[in-house]
Amino acid sequence: MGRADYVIKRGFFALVTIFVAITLNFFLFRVLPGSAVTNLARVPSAGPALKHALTVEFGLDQPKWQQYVLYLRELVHGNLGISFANQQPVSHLLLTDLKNTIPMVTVGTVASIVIGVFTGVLAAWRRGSVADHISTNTAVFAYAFPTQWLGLMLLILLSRYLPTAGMTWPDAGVFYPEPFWQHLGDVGEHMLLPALTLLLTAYGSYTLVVRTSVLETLGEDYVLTARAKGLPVRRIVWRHAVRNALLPMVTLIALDFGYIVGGALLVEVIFSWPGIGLAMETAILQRDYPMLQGGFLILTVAVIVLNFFSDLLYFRLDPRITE
Amino acid sequence: MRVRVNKLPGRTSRLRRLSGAVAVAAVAALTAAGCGAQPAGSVKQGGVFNLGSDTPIDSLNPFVAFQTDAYTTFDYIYPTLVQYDTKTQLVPDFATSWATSDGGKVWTFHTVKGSKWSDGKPLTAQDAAWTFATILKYQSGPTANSAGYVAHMVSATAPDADTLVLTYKQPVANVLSQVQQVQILPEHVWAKYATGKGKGLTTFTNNAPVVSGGPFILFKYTAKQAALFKRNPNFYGPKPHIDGLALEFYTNDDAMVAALKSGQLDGVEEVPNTSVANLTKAHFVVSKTPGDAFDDLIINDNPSQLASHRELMNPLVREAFDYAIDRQQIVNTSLLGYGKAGSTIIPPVTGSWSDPSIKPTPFSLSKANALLDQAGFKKGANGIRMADGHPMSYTVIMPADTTDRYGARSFAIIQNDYKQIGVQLTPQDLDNSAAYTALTANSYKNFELSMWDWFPETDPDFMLSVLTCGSWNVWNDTGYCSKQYDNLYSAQSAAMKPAQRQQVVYQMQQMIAQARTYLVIDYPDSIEAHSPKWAGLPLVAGTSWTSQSTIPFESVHLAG
Repeated sequence: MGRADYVIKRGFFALVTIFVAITLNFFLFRVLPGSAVTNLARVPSAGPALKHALTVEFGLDQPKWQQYVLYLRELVHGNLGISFANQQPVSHLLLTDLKNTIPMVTVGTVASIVIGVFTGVLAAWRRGSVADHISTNTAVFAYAFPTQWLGLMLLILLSRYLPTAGMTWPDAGVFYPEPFWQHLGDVGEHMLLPALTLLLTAYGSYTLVVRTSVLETLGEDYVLTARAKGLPVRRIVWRHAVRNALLPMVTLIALDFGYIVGGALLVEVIFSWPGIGLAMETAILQRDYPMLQGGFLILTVAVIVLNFFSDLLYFRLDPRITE
Repeated sequence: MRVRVNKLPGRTSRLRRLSGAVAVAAVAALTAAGCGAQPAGSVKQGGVFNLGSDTPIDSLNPFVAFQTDAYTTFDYIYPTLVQYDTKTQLVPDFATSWATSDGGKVWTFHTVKGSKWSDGKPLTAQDAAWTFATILKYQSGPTANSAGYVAHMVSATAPDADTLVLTYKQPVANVLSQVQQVQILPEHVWAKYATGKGKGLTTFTNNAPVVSGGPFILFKYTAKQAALFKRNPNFYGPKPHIDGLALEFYTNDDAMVAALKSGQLDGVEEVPNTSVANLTKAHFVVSKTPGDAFDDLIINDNPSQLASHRELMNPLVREAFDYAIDRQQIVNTSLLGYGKAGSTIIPPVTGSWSDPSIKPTPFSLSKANALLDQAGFKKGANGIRMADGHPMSYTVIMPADTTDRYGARSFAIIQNDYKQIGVQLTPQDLDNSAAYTALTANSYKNFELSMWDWFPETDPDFMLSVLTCGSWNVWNDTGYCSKQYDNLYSAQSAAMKPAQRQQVVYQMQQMIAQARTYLVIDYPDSIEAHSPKWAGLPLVAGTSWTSQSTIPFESVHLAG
């Protein structure tokens, strides 16, 4: 298979997957019991008139296939619709949520990758040693903890020293001017607990995958050859074993980065982080279909696109694919 | 979802004073200052109060919002004609006095003279007239979420800058409690959106800084994070002692309580029962006052319900279910003692609207067993009774409103006791939206039982309306529908004499108590806490941050 054929084939599959996901997203949420109108019509002064007005307003009085066609038509024009809950454009709301989510989840994910790779390599390199046992068992321990439990424990233990909610102090820059670096510090301080929770719950899987992969490569003939040539151990591990062992990590990392835009629901709920995970939870509870469709569309596209890029990267890293 | 717009109990003395309202009943020109706030000179000024809340503002547009804190925010930034005081009596706010005429069909309000909005523009009765007239005009569309506040209203006019006239097609008993919930909007800001079909009224974001007329100006709002208020120098009433108020939103109660304990917050608007002892020990000011909410077990009340559980309509079964609820045990164990056993759907804390003759049903499993025996439903070999050929085994719909708090604990107590009378209960946990859909499915014929709660308003009208036939598929969660009850509901809403209205309200409560549509389980306390560095934070019927009154945060000040 030629390079161009491979790219075209993977690209075509990506597009088909996105279309199928869009369709599934549309119908899936409407299959859920409950209704957006039921929630929004439950204000004390509400009567049947409000329910009817909202149903018409949201176009929910139309047959489902008509709603679907309308959704696709608007989507082609780049319009994600209007949120049922607050009547604002979904694209604006999601953009704000994404801007809040990405820094926190990126910090947590990148840190977990770095620590996971380091501890995984260490465990494989010192296989059977105390360092291996400590590294592996700690990773399994952290990986096994439910996110919400770990988050709550950190919150209870560290709430005296670190903020427990939100992205900034509410009055920052209001009663006194706040320079940019100070704002950055404010966000960083608020980000510590959620990012740390994310790090602790995610790094274990990287440790275990890297350890297994490095162990495999350490048994390969070319590593034996390198040893026979008298290369230093450090160089054998980092230059020869680890570089080859990281191939399966490409997919894992690509997928994880794809999920970054999906936020980290539990972490965002525990630390009241106003990101896309929290927005999706609220949208599900409110049956806010446009927000759900928009959020899951972004998540789907991100995962598929990053998966596509990881395929391309594989293609470049491993020439055997084209054979 | 039960929206807690007004989670406060109320009294009716103001209405009673207005009895025989054919004649003009001028009201003393009290101001809110006289009802709670202290003069500025005697207390420490300044400071920003950081208040933690677990319900975010969903929109800054009153025609779109439906979350509690959005309404409370509107109450603090927009004028209302009247408000509740610390004794839960309706007192003047932007209206200094009012009078009724034409048999209660015409209500004339005199408003504060020379008032201004925060942008310096005049704040007059014309703004009030425009707000009511706009709600009236678009009530079947963009302003439908406020339509109930203008029920039976024909027109709203301002003959001069300080006089508002509301005209109704029939006498309406609860006009004051209705207008208390309508925030007066600045016409000069909003008028351009009330054109054509009024679509702009719902798409206008009303971003901060908001042109405000209440004690505070909302000058910064970060969605899902915080709302910041500063003192409004143009406010027509008593100026708040604090410089500002920061409302911070939490999605996790534990985090909110931890933030209070660590000094990140000055107060929290709702404290979980499990945190009370801890906060009290840490010397926080924890207020525990009788609340007007109640928890209930709903029994399907639709006579046409499926045959597979139609025995639920049998009065003996309903009575047995009532006797088999150990209310005191639930209060002691589930509410940790912070509440009272429940009886009627209008909680006693609302004062004279609650019928004192309706008492909590005593717990008696032997009585419950005897009633089911009398109904002829014998126990099978497995201990479960058989009713009309099927086991008395029921699914109890448990919405998130119930399970998120102590509801699962209460259910476990009831489930265990019901087992002893040969009735098996199985919980079905659903989110609120799915729960309501399940209750109303197939025109209320499918569901069997449910456990939910209510936060009635101070005036009984709303809570009573829930069980009318017209409320089916909107608020009604029981399938109850009675012409006699509906007629009584109409009668109470038109009864201008409070004593007469009270009799009708009592009669309606007795109907529901006898029908056992709701088995009222308990009245949980309203619990909130704040740091001892603050003082003078009065409660309006158990709550400081409420959409019924601005007195609490006009009065709060630094201690010392």
